[in-house]
Amino acid sequence: MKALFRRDLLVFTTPLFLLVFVGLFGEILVPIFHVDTEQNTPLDLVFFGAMGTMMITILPQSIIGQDENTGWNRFCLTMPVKRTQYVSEKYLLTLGFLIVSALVASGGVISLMVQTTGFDGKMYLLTLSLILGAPLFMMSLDMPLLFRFGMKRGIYFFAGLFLLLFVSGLSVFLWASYTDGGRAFFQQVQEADSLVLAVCILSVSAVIYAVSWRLSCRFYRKQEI
Amino acid sequence: MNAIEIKGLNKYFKDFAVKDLNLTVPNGCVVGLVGENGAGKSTTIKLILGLLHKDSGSITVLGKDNVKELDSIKEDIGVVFDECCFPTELTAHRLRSIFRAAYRQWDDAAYEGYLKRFDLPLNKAIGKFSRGMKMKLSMAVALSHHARLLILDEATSGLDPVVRDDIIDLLMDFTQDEEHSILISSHIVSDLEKACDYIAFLHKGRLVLCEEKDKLYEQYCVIHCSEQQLATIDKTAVIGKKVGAFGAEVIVQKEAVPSALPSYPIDIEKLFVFMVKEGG
Repeated sequence: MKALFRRDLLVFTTPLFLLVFVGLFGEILVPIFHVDTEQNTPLDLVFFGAMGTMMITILPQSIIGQDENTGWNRFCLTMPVKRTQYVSEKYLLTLGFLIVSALVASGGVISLMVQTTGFDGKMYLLTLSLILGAPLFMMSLDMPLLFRFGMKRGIYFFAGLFLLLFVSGLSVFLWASYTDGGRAFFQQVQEADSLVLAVCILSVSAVIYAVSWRLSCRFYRKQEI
Repeated sequence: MNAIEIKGLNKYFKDFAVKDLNLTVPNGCVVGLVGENGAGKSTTIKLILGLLHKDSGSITVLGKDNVKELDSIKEDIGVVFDECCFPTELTAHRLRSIFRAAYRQWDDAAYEGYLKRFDLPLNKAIGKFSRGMKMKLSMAVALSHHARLLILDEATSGLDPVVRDDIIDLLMDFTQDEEHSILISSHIVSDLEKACDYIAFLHKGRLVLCEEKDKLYEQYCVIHCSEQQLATIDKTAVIGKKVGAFGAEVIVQKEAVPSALPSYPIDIEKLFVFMVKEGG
């Protein structure tokens, strides 16, 4: 697996450097220079942070696409590399970059906190969990489809699934907003302890990530290359 | 022990199938897999490497089952595909660090030796290499971890004769060690003729012939005769024939040739073409 990491890091050094560069601008500088200390809260930065980390979810698509185009996915399986290791490397690499990106984004959160309410550890963790959780969820949806259908078809399936989830999620949200039970639920979420929420978000993301990894391994073991 | 042993291999696709394939690559030998495009050469190699899943039959590689124990024998296999699969952004120098991490027996000195032998630059991006240079680099990688078995899938196709000759020379050197074996697929039969001990003909997913190369020379010959003379020859001994306005060119078993007819040695390419096209 070390060889796979080395290869991907060597090949994607330049694009990743650019991504981090863009991330630094998007996640730290933009919110700092546009901060409205009267109105903005650290949670507002989730948008900026998640946007930056969302870009990282493109990474496995690029790598798997390039592997398919160059034949590296076929060649590396003739090396002492198992299919499970190939899949795991893509998951770990993306997770690693997501964490780095989320931590970069959290720099913006800290600076906003310092300028407004002062540093709040629990709120920081909640923001970080949202910045990390959203792209992790996206990646967990995307990867099994890439390993099952390949890059070209997988990306269409992902777009379809994303649209379906988005529309159903929005429908449930709107429906819940107009019911007493739904409003009560949202009220409870707003009043809940930030730390508990952060732990819940990270736990759910971790479970989805693990299920996604298992599915991808299963799909790729059956894949004919 | 045989390097590769395939028994009763079947693999079905929608429009193509490899059927009941039995093939052996003896230790210390070079076996050439010959066949027209789409004959099933690459499919067979992918099945051996576990990249495709067989429907039935068994494959053992270096004495081990290719599905259950393939991971343990990958250290001993070097593979070259028809395309160079290495990242085009990297140089031969940086590529080394990937394979050093992959193979326990990776040998930097051997790798550098091959690069020098092939005159390949260390610090030039692989994307800027010619096709010949890329294939030489692939060969260098395949040989630098002390593999015992080389599997080459159309590795010489699209290369000029000089590069092909370099690669064939390298293969000959590799098999100086009797523990080393090669399975090489190609439709450039002249390359295989130079390097191989055994020739296996695949046609439409079936193995039509697998024989020691020298025995093919001993058993078969070419004759030029009239249609009347052809009629006197035992039909079961005729492998293939091409009948024209000036007579027939026939590949036939030597023992069936009438003594009055002069016979000429066959070349494998002609045998292959006659078997596939003219239908013996």
